[in-house]
Parts: sequence; structure tokens; C-alpha cells
Amino acid sequence: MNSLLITAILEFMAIFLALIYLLQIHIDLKQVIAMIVTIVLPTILVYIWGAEWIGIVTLFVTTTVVFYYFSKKLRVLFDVCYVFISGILADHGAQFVSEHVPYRHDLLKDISYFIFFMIFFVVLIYIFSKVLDTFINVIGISISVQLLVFTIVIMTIVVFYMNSFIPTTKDEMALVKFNLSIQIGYVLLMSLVFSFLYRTLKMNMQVERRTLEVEQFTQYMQALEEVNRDMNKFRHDYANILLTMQGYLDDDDVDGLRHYFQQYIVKTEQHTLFKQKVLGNLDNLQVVGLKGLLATKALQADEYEIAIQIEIPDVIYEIPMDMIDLSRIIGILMDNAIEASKEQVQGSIHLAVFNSSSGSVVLIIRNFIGEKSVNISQLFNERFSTKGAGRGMGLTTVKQIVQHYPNVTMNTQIDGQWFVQQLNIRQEGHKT
Amino acid sequence: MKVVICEDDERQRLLMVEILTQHALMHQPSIEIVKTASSAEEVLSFLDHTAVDCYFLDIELAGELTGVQLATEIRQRDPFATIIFVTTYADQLQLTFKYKLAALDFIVKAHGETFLTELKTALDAAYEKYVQLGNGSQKFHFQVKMGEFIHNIRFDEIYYFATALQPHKVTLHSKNGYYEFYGKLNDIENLDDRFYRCHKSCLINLQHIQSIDKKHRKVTMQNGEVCPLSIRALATIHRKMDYF
Repeated sequence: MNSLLITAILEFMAIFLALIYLLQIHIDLKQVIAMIVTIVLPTILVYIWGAEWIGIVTLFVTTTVVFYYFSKKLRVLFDVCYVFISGILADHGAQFVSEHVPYRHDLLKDISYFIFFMIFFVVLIYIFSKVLDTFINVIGISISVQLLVFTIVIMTIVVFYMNSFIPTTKDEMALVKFNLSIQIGYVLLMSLVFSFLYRTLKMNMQVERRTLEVEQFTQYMQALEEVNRDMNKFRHDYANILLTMQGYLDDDDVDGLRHYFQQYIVKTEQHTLFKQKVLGNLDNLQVVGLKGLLATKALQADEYEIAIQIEIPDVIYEIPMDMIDLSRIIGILMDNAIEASKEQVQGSIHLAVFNSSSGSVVLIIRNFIGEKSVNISQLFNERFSTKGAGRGMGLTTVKQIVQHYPNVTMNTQIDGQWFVQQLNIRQEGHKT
Repeated sequence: MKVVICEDDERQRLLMVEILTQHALMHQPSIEIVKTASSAEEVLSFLDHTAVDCYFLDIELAGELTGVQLATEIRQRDPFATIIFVTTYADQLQLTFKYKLAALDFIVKAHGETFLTELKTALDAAYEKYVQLGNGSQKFHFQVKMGEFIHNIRFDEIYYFATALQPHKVTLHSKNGYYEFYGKLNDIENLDDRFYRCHKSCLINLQHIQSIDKKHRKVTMQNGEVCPLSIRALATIHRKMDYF
């Protein structure tokens, strides 16, 4: 009886201290009394006159309510659950250790049990507080996930407790029922967890795809705006240009006029007109996600003074490939083409997208390489790159993506002085 | 080789006819210009009764059909015809013409030598293709179709064929390219004597073997790529190689 009382006091204290630590609340004498009156006394009373398990439930409920009142934090439920689980684990662990040490005296055994219980308990609580802190700081958890976590924790607590008490009843049928209920419970729980996981992943994918599309479209809009600004500037300068030309004409200075025209008008405006033309060529591409990418890459190439030409003679409504994969492929191929063209004196990139008569979409990107030799078999080698280490991943990635599509084939070849990449994307289900 | 020239500008047309006729006479007397036309319709009605091998088409034809439309029409009638486009503008849809209409060449009209040289070069290339077709030398070529466009890959430039990760896809590794097409290795196994099925996933060109590693059952090709060897092939590959 004596040792039972000590155990009880110890366990109460352990639970309270752990919760006070975890919830970071300051307590005074009033609260201590409140705890004793509202938690300890009812629990002991129920424990003595009721059944053991009702005592535990009472302890659980009263602790949760009182500590919620103290801290006003919803995570109390979670913390209480964890403290209980830790208590059970520490209790079992301490019992296990104490039983295996041959003490001569019962008192020694009890003391060792207490010490080990405290050590295990403190360690578990400490780990938990650290893990929880980082967990909460790193990710904001949605309500549904919180609920799920609570369900898992409560479920675990119930199973742990049932596990501790059931073996005392020797009825085999009860044991079978008990096991069955645990198993069913866990299967249900796992299905719930998986459905959650699945939904979250699916949502993430959709969000990612949507973000990409928006991003691409924004890029396209920006490119358009840039060209538009250039055009407006030209219009703005229009009057000035006319006046200057008038001046040359008044002086009959044809050479001066020619020089002015060549130097100031043709050179700058050619560039603007060129940009506008390149973007205009994208009109037929109705795949919004790609428009931005191609516009950006075209302007990028133009910045490096690479002659870029885009041909989209047919209206392309859809390309039967995942947008993210397609963007990655085209991004890599264009980057490679730009990278290679930078080394050329007269860099030139041509891109074409058209429908073939067999119903597939053909995409061709070629860049001028002149007499430079390219080793095709090395191109797809992960470690290989003409530009040094770390750059060779591109084509390997492209190849890997293409491999996952039964309706896509890719050709890479040297055609005269051009390095040509072709993608043939068939409508799904269309087989020859 | 029968050649048709379609150009609506009379001076240009005469110039082209003159250049091509002269060049043909000097180098390939069997080239014959069978028709000069100024409109697409003229060409099409001519085609109703005569077969033609090679076309020089102006893209900017005055009339109902443009050169491109005419080419599309010709392509439908004869997938093997050689089409060479001539245009005033350099920024035409070059790639599309080449890969969608399988045009052999694309020549920009200009004053001076370049234009004339390009015309002659194009004619030579067309003739070479014509001779190859006539000799049935496509027997020594493997064809990979990409939309309308056909890649002709010479057997002796092919290192090996292999099955791809996706079923029904085959990859071709050659000197100048990497190709993918739909098919099965079984169907091309007997393409030519030089090709040998060294593994169920590989069909190699015996001409291009660099080394054989019996211990690890591997064949290294001349481009450095490695193919697996089946146990059966391990026994016979040396005997097969003796022929090459």
C-alpha cells in the first residue's frame, strides 16, 4: 500500500511536471491546489471505488481539461496523449530493466524502478519537445492533418492501454476479439492516412502544374510588354526622327541622311521588329504553358546575338504530354542550343512545331554547329558535357523523360552543319 | 532524271533553265528538263500524264496555289519525289519545308554566284538521290520515319539497334545520330548479314565491334557503347565476325 501510494504520487508528479514543461506554463500554489482537487482526488476516488480503467480515463480527461484551462492551447490534448504514452513506455521499460537485475532487497528493486522510470520518462519528454518544436516551426499543419495526428495518437494510447490490461483476462475469445479490433482499427487508420497522402500529393501536383502555367504565361506577357514598350518608344521618337531627317534633306546631305538612317533607325528598329516577329510567330501555339517558355528562350537567344527563327505554321491546340515534362524537355534542348550557339561566330537556332499528316505533333530544334564534330554517343552520357563537369545532365534527363512516354520518340542527329533534335509526339492511342 | 521548274517570273525562269541545262549537259546528260511552268496548275496538269523525279518550285507563285501548296500536292502523289524550293525571302519556314514536306533544299534568290552555285549543288544532290533510288540502294539504308520526313541511314553508319524501355520502341545508334522508332528487333533482324542479334535486346553491326569481353559477356562498339552478349551468341560471335 505504501509503495502504491508513492508510485501514484510519483506518477502524478511526473505527468504534471512534463505537461508544465511542454506547455511552458507558470504555476503558483493556487494552481497546484486546483490540480490536486480537480485531478488527483477524483482519480484516486474513482480508482478505489470504480474500476482501474475508469480511473485512468478520469485521469486522462481531467488532466486534459485542467491543463487546457491553464494554457488555453489546443495542443494540450496532443501533449497529454504523448505524456501518457511516454509514461507507459517508461513504466514498461523500467519494469523490464528492474526485473532483470537480481536485487536482494525489494526496496532496492523499487528504487531502481523509480530511477529508471524517471530517466526514460525525462528522455522521452525531452525528445518529444525538441521534435515537436522543429515540426511546428518548419511546417504549418492544416486542420485536417492535425485531426489525423490526434486520431493516430489517441488510437495509439487506447491500444497501449488495452494492451496493458487485457492480458489479465484469461479469456481466449476476448483476446481474439481484442486483437481483431486493433487490427481493423489500424487498417482503417492506415487507409485514412494513405488517402490523405494521396490527396495531398495530387493537390501538390495540380498546384505545381498550375503555377508553371501561370509562370509561363506571365513570362509571355512580359515579353510582349517589352516589345510593346520598344514599339511605343519608336512611335514616341517618330516626330524627332522625322525632324532630323527633314534637317538632312534641307541641307541636301544625302550621305548624312543615309548614315543616320542606317545607324540610328535600321539598327535599333530592326531589333524591335525582329523581336515582335518572333513573338508573332508564337501566335499559332495555343498551348499557353509553352508560349512563355519559347518567348523567354527566344529573347534570351536574341540577347546573345544568336539568330533565332521560330516556325509554327499550323495552329497547335494540344500536345499530348504532361506540361511539366514537355517544358523541361524544351527548356533543356533550347538551353543546349543557346549554349552551343554562343560558341559559334554566327550562332543560329531554328525551331519548328507542326502537325504531321499522320496526326502527330513534330517539334524540331536545330542549331548551327559548322564543321565542329560532335560525338553522339557521348552526348547522352551523364558525366559528359562539352562544357565541362556538371553540365551534362540535360540530355540524360530528356532521354529519361521521353522513355516514360509510349507515344513520344526522339531523334538526335547531325545533319550537315546542323545539330538537330526532333520530337515526334503521337496522339495517345494512335498506333502504327 | 526528269526535272520540272515552276517559277512565275519569266526572267528568273529562263535563268534557272539555262543554268540547270548547262550544268546537266556538262555533268549528267541523263538529266532532262521536261517542263517549265509559271503556275502550279500547269505543273499539276502535266503530272497527270508524266512522271517526274525532281522539282524546282518557287514558293511565291502568283496564282491560286502557292509553291508550298503545290509541294504538298506533289508529296501526296509521290512520296519519293525530290523537291527543291526557291524563294525571294530568306526567313521562310525552312525547317517546316524540310521536315514536313521533306524538301531536299531551300534556295534563296540572290544576285550573283551564290545563287547559281546553290542551284547546281541542289541539282547534283537530287541526281545522287535519284541514282540511289534507281540502284535500289535503299537496300543499304535503314529508314526511320518522322512524320513525313524519312531519315535514310546507311547500314555502315549504324552501330547497333536496341530495345527501348517502352515496349514496341527500338533505338538506333549510328555515327551521326540517335533515333527512336516503333517496331521490334525481330522484324529487322534479317536486314543484312552484317547485323547480328547478340542478345535479345541488341542487334549489333559486326563491322563496328571494338572488342569482346567474354568474361563479362559484353561487346564494346567502336563508339564506346557497350552491348550485352547472350550465352548462345558468345559461342558464335567469333565465327560470324570472321566474315567482316
